[in-house]
Amino acid sequence: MLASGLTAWLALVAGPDAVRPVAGIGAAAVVTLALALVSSRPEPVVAALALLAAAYVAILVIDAPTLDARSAVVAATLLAIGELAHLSLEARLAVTGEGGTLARRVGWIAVLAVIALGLGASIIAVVDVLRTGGLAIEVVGVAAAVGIVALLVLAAREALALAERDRVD
Amino acid sequence: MTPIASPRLVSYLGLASVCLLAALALRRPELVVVAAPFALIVAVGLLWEGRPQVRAWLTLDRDRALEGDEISAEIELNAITTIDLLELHLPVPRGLSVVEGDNPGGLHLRAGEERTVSLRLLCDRWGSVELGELRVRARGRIGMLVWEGRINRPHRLQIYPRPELLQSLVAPLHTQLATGDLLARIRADGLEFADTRAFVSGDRLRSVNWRASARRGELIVNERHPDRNADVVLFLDSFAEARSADEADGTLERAVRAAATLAGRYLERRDRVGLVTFGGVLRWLEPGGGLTQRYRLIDALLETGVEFSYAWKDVNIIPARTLPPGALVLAVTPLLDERSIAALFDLRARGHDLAIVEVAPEDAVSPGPGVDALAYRLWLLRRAGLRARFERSGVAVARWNDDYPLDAGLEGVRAFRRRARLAQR
Repeated sequence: MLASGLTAWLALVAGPDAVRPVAGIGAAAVVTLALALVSSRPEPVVAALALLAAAYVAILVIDAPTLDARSAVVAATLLAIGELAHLSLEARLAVTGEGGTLARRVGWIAVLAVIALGLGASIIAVVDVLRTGGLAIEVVGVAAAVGIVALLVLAAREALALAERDRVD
Repeated sequence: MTPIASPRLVSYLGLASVCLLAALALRRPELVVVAAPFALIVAVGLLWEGRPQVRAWLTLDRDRALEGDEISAEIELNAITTIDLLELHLPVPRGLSVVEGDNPGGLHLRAGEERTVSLRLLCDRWGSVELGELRVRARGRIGMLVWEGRINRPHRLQIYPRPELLQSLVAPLHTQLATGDLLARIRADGLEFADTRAFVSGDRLRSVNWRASARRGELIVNERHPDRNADVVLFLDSFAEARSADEADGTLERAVRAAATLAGRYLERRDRVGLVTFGGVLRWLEPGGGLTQRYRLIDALLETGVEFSYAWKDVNIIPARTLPPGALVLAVTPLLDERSIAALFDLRARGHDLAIVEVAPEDAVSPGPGVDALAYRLWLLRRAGLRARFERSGVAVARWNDDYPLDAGLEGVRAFRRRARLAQR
């Protein structure tokens, strides 16, 4: 439902040229997500999230707004969709939990969405401030992107090392 | 505990990477905004959430139970770190089932919290079962990694067979020398009057029957039957069993239940009871008496199972001391395997006092129509013929199935042995 809402909202805010591709890609994302939930498989969830992101990219490419502040909302909604979809899949396999487990998880997802919204808004604000900058800002942007990728690689390596240690133990 | 990556980890990593690359390619900072929450949640999930630590202990309210009893199992948990969802599973072996409590179950534990999970287990089937391998799966609040592990708290539970209703036993033809509850045929010191005879030197004065002596004009003494015990060997056939698809109890379960009941009742009578489990694996227990022997017998019976074997086995492989002379051999068998049937004929041919409790396998077989029905009737005829062969050899066969108690089957044996004795006279 959230995915359908995001698709509808993106189609509404898209320019006249972008409406059709956005609606088409969004519909494909909703169908993919529905398939993932029906088949109880997690793999199509990421495809659905990628398609929803692609629908937003279509707006960015076709309408080419200067700096789109809606990206924070898109990011928070995508995260909520991903978390809720995985929660739905896990709930089918999970054992009988204590009362309130599901409500706690849903509440936590709401908190995550709010944090994502705040993070996105902060990034947009920083970008807006620095937008007028020249090459130095470009360098800072690339460094930030590389830094995030490096952080992800480090985190993945840490997790792999931890797993390896456990296997040895 | 072993970490296992959640499907979200790969999904979010992939999505964040694609968005970041697209942001660089398209020169759109908005895509960095889209990627940032996914990248952040993965990074925080991997770096911030450590290995969950939980300790667990399992306690059972007892280590011995009867079939049909309910026992209580308590799993005490002590969380060292906060665990958002701890899935806990106690695998229950065959013979036990959970009647109360969630197994598997999910819990939320805060750091330092202690919790007790209670389960009620029903002892469905006799046996010696081991339980205590707790399987745990823990995830943190973010849950990028799921941690799985096993905690071993082994407990052995002896589930004793439910006793069958039994009023009286099959009396052995021969008694032994020790004192027991069985009236011996020989004449010696005892309580039960047997006969009178003339006094001879050495007879005790208290044995003199004064009334008979007065009538006969000479000293007459009473002769009595002594109370003696007997040796009983339970011969349990574990070569084969019959079990229908929907029936929980096969012939082996009922055979063990019958053997345990018989062993208990004979031991109560101060008889010496031995056991031969004749099957793929031969187990034996020399005749003995008392409470220790009772527990030995039950423990040996609990180990009984049908072990498949092609090897031809006969009575020669049974140690001679296990089958003492004059012992009553009480075979509990479904009469399905040729090896055990041949062994029983062999025992009879060697002069052992033999009686058979046939745990009827017919209930476990449901014939189909046509040729199946004909084959079933032929099989029944062959079984009837086999029983007749045993009876011609002087061996009583008691048929026992679910329709009537063990006592009713044994009554047939007792009647046969009474008739056979009269015919001999």
